Amino acid sequence: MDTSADPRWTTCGDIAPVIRYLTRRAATSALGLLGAALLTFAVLRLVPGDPVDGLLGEQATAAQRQDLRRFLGLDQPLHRQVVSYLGRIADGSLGKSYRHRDTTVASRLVAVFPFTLQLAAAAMLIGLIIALPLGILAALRAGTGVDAAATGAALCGVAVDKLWLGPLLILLFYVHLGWLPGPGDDPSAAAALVLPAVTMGAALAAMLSRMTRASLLEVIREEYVVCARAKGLSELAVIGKHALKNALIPVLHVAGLQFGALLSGAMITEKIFARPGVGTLLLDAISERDYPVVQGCVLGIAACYLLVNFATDLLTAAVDPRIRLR
Amino acid sequence: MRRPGTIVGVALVALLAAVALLGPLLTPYAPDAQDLDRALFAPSRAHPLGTDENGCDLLSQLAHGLRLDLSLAALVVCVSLLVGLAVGATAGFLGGLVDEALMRLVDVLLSFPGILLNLAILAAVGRPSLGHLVFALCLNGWVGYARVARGQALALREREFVLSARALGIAEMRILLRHVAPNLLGPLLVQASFGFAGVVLIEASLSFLGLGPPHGYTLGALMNQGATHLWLTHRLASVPGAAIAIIVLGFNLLGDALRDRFDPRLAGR
Repeated sequence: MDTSADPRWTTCGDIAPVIRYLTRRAATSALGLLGAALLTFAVLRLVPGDPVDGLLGEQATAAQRQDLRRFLGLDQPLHRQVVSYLGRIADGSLGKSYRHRDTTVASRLVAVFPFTLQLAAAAMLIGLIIALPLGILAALRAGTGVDAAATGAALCGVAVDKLWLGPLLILLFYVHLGWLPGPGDDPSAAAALVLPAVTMGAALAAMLSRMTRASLLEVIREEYVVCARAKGLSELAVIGKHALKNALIPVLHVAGLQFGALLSGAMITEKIFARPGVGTLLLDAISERDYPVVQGCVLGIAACYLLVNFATDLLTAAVDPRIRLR
Repeated sequence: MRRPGTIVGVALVALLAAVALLGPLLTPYAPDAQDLDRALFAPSRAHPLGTDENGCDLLSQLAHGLRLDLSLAALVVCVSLLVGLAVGATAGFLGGLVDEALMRLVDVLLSFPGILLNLAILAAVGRPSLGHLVFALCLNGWVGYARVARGQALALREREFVLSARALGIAEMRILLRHVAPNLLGPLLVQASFGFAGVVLIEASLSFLGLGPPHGYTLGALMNQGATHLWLTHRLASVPGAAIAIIVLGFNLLGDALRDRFDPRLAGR
């Protein structure tokens, strides 16, 4: 990309800091990815005791144990294990499932990933829809009853964990009122997303609304906002056109980072609502003792998490020049 | 200025500690004492929170669950804090290559979504014991503390009292232990209060997924049990759910209060 023609990049004068920022950020992400790969590899070797015992239980026959040992490559010397493990990541297959040996881990992941992505996106949408108006209102009415009510709501949102909120929502909207689909209904229907998304989005809304409030309160005190007021602009123009533009940058940055967390934390919600997804695949693999699938899911989720964080940082740097100059 | 949140936070944490310490001694029933004739009884004088599907007293289960969860969280937070303090203070105080290496390790652990690493470890163990759970939670639990401790140590390194200690010829290790480390405790305590709530939530999630401690009652395991009987009553899920909410609320409010105390610049945020 020729950035010199783009006025947004050239206003800072020197392009070197931008490149330095991009390089450093890309290097951190690559390091994180490699670290995640090595960690998922090391976990099986780190835990005390023979992993084959843990995975097969005590009643396993010697033949079964030998089979698993060979399948996991545990009979190879360590350096060969690392190389073949990294090879399976590099060719994109993530290895074969132990229980379903004709399928690769990657193909199973790809099959369920859209469900988790939909759920995370819906949860993010609900989080933002609740958080932005609530946070803005609390900041504009800071110190009043409205602000206190918003604070109380946010505290409740943080305290009521999805483990409790999910079952309560099912009970109210599915069992008693019958308004929305619940566990076991067709998961591809849009309505089936509502309850799981609210379950995941509530804590997010609580956090983002607090951030919106704090960020807007800070920006409102800045001179350019005072100046906009002094020019006689309407309150709507001051807040909507001038203050929010800057106030929302940190909020959207955190929202982006939280999107990665939503993708990786979906398993609880998927279990509560019996939805298919990466989390469900992971949990099934754990109960089936299918360790290659567990490894693949963990690595896949970690990779998504890293990529989303990387993309979020780049986008934030693109909208806010102050960040890439740091 | 003492905010109402502070008082509520301290009161909730004190209440939780009292229930965890004394509750199991005061409840007349063992948590696993079954009485199938009294299955799923509503709250009454004999059973203030009612009974579960096997007729076990829910209050006894809750008291034992609180004791196990809170002591587990306390252990994990203590170990994580000490490890984080040691790593962070060393990195920040020594700087250079040591700092670079330790902080890259922190970056890698931070780039791993928290609960996943715990899950991967417990899945590899097969049948996790209490020790495995503590190990899994501590493995990435210390990272947050290390970051805070490093930042503080970096700032303290240039402060006059450290410089004068060095000018007096005091050994670096002694400066680190006697002069720098104690000054790091304040911010770390703030972090620990929020971290405590976090550990309880993660442990509840892991127990809910069936990867919690094998013996005894935890709030997450009670929650899982309650969710399966949701069609009959929400009480079995709501009791542990409310207990978790009180823990999270209490320790978050306490954390806010501690932050105001140790870092007045951030007060009221």
